[in-house]
Amino acid sequence: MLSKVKFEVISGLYCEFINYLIEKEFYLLSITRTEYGFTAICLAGDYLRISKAARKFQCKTKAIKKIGIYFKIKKIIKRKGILTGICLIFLCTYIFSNMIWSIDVIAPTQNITEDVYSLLYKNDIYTGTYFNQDKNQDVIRQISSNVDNVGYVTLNFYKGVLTCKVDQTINRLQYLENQTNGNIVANMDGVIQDLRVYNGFYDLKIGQVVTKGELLVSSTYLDRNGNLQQVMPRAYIEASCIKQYQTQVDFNKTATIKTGNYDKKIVLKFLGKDFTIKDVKSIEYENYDAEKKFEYVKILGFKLPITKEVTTYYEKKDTIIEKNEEQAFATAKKIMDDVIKSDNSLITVDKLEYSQEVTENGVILYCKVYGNYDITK
Amino acid sequence: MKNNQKKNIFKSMDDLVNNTAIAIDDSGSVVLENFKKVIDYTSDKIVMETNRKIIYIYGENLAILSCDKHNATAQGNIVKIEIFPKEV
Repeated sequence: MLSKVKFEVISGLYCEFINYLIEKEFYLLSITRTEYGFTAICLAGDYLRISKAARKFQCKTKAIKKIGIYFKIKKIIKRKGILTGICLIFLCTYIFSNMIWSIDVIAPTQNITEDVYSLLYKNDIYTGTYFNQDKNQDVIRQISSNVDNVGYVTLNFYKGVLTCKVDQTINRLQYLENQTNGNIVANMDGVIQDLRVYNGFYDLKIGQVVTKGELLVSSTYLDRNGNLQQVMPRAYIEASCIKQYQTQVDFNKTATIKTGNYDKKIVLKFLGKDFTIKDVKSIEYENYDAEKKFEYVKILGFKLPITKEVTTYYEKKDTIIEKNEEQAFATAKKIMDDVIKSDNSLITVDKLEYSQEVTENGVILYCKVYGNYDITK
Repeated sequence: MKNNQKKNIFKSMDDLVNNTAIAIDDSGSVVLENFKKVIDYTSDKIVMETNRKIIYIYGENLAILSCDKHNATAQGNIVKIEIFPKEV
């Protein structure tokens, strides 16, 4: 094992002992004299025999230092569990090198990513399965033909990670239109608060009042030579405006509402096989909604090549909304909040003014929002 | 006559094989080939016996770097080496 022991010999006939060791062909290194004997380095295998032979010459031996890898890994060698664990890890990495550990889909929109994930799943490509190189081209063809607005698709498999990059197509006519007729027009009435024009011709000032339909930034301009130039205008214009929103809630309307009862079915998927952990024993719901979710099984944040499919069955019932004004207004306000939040052009809200109206059929809620809007959208 | 010649040839062969070679290095090491045994060993003096001679190595902090049945290398601040014939 190329390991050595540095030992010390004390008292006795040390010179005779050295001669004896030389005669018996023990390999000795760096023999140095000490006060009462000498120190030397021998091979680890010879040390026991040397210490036995020392008794003949009335010498005492003492191991000072143990040199070599054997002595360093000696503690680990005895613990067979650790050794087998290390061997198993190496074996697993060798065996599972062709296995998909995770899938990354890089796509411009959320809809495309979901469609691509579902298509991959249909072709038996999910975490925990072996990656088949022959299927590659077929899957790419399927994605490009079945998913809308997909231009170029690439599938790369490297170190257990499958990355699918999808590029979106742009309508040629629309692109040309955007390039040429891209005048920015005001969508709302308001007073300009922030003005940032990156490209195009404009004649605006902060504090200026603009009306709906007014030209803000034009795509055409005359250069110093008097020639007409066309550019793609880009600008961010913020204005303080007043916008009114309206929501309506009808009485005596039947609506399907979730009762709150649900049942779950859990299936683990590994190496293309399904293992049901929890099955749905009895679905007695007349009307139900099923939601499917795919999750990676994780241990301490480390992804395992096992996917967990959880399907939840929510019970639904048809209920009639009675003529209750307070309840109707409360629901109308909830809907109104969602509508205001979903408005992309709204930047900051200064003030909200609610007004309501009760009709025979239902309730109408009005909301005036005083705030800053992006008027280019 | 022939037997005598043969004996002489074998003697000369023995001499060649069992000859002691001493190599001295200016870095402070002495290599002895075909040595027999160590007679005395202190940090100031190493005495070694060969087939025909006894070799004294004097110096400071002397150490035997490596040692097997035939060769030995001594190292340290070597001051003097003396060679004496063996008393028979």
